[in-house]
Amino acid sequence: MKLFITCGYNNSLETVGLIQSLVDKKIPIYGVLITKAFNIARIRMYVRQLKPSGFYRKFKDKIVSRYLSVKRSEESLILETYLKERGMKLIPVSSYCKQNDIPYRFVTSLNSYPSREYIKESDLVVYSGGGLIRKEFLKIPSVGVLNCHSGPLPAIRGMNVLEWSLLLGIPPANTLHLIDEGVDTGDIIEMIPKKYPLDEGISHLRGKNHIDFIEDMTYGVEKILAGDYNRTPQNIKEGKQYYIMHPMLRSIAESRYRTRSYVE
Amino acid sequence: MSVDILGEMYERRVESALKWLKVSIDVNKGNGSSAYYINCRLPLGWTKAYPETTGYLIETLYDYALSFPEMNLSDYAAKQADWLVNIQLSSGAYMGGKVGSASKPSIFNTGQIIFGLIRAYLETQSTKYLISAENSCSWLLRNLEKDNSWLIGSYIEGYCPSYYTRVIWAILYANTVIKSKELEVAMRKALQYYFGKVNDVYGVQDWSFKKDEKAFTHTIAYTIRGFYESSVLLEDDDLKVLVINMADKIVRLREVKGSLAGRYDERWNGDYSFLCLTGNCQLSIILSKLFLETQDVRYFNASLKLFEDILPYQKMRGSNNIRGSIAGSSPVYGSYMFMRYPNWPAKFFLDAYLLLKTSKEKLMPQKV
Repeated sequence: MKLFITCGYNNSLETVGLIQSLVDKKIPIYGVLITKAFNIARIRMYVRQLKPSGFYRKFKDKIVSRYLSVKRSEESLILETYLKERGMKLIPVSSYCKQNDIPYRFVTSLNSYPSREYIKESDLVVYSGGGLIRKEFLKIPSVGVLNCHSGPLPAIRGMNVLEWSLLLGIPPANTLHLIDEGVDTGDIIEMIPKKYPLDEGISHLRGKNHIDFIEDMTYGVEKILAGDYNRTPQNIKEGKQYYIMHPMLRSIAESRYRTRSYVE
Repeated sequence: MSVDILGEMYERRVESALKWLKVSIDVNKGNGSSAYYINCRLPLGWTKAYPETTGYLIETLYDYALSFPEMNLSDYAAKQADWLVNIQLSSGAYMGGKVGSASKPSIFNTGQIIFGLIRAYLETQSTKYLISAENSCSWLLRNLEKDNSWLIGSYIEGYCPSYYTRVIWAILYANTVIKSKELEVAMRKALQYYFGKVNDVYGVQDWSFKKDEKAFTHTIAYTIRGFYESSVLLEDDDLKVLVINMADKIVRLREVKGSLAGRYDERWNGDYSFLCLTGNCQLSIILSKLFLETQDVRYFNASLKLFEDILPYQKMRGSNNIRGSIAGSSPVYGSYMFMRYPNWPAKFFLDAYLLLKTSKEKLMPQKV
């Protein structure tokens, strides 16, 4: 089975961790599609959604911190510690691929022609970021595009799903599913419940969730390669689509999670 | 975006807006709130009092009276209600436009004044306000056309805008006290007229000030609020579903685009060259109300964002004539209320703030 991986930006430590985890399991990787971060349309979309201050914080945390000594979020530090403990260097995805003889290609968009050409013989694409994927891309891999959604499906679709689970009092979970044309509406492979410490804040939990992403995605790939999986269609009426959570709600989510004072 | 959006720092904003509204009344010696302030030298500056918005401003003054006792807001509110009773036409109608301007009786303005009269009655039990409101309702009822539209007394001759749903709400609100079956039946029928103007994407025909123009979010919110409050008062589930669909549209637009447009056509094609600041506050109110009713936190989330989007544009410096005010548009030279600081963005800002506070309290962890 020919497996490819997508990558949201070249400095994605989560993707480096995932590739390493698959390599450790001796799973061959046929190629990695790295989306170029500096793309006007993409930057404009982030600025619109996060506002300039939010975009700046994210940019500083995910990219500038790789080159300059700036304060990073707890979320990033947890992932870095996890990778370092496994003897990994914190290097860009392209450098990691070069060192390990894994083919890779930079693309402006996953939906572009060069990107689709690159995966034309794929059986499974593992999604590790890169923006919304369109039908033309989705129909190429024979099995599909595997995603690890950091919330329970079909209950919580969309963005900031870990935070929404905590706010709504729905037990956190990662859901492995195959991407379809909707937002997180594709067939479910497996939902993996999470137990996070009550005394930690959301930034810490998000950091833990990056590690879970790596481990759960590896588990999902192994299952699919072994043919040991079922596809369960979602009933989207059982859930809702959520958007970026306002910081005030995020802080309420945190206190609600700590006190577990959910409104039933 | 700020974690502490409803904290102490923002209480100062509320206080400034209230003080500014008081100035808008003081400049008329207590007889009505000026429509707007133009930040220029004389002869510009404060305009004459505006009965329509003074009417619905009364509710806000009462809402904040207990929180700011030193401001005597109840006295201000009652004085405005007295003034409105005094300027009412013998027919029960109110003139359109600013006081003293050459105008004619207005359907919409009469409706908006009913809110203040009824609230003043509920606060004081003084029947003069109730009688005045009843006369207004009767005049509105008498002027309903056979197809349940209102054609006389409109802003544009012969044009019946869909934001008249807010007039229906005003009458239904008055009817919670008047308790007339005739009024209720008539308003149920009138609602059908506007319900029929809703299109397949939950836009509404004629929701703008002028026919075939894009509607400012101000009048879009007027239209939706009219539908929403009527659905609550009449316990009408079809209307409720309609409002939820409209709200979902607005939530999605705000989230995907990062901010709302200043105006939209009936198919939600937006003009993003400016923000209609009052429209944001009004839509924030609707979303907070939906959250409180449905417990769907997504509405609260979007409500917070719509409210926060306008905060940088509240004037927090300058003279008493400007400090605390909110312009019609951002930028101030935008298409809605060009270069003006009307009293209604401040009113809706205050209303939105109160609802956000209530929503937050609802969501905060309860002690177990």
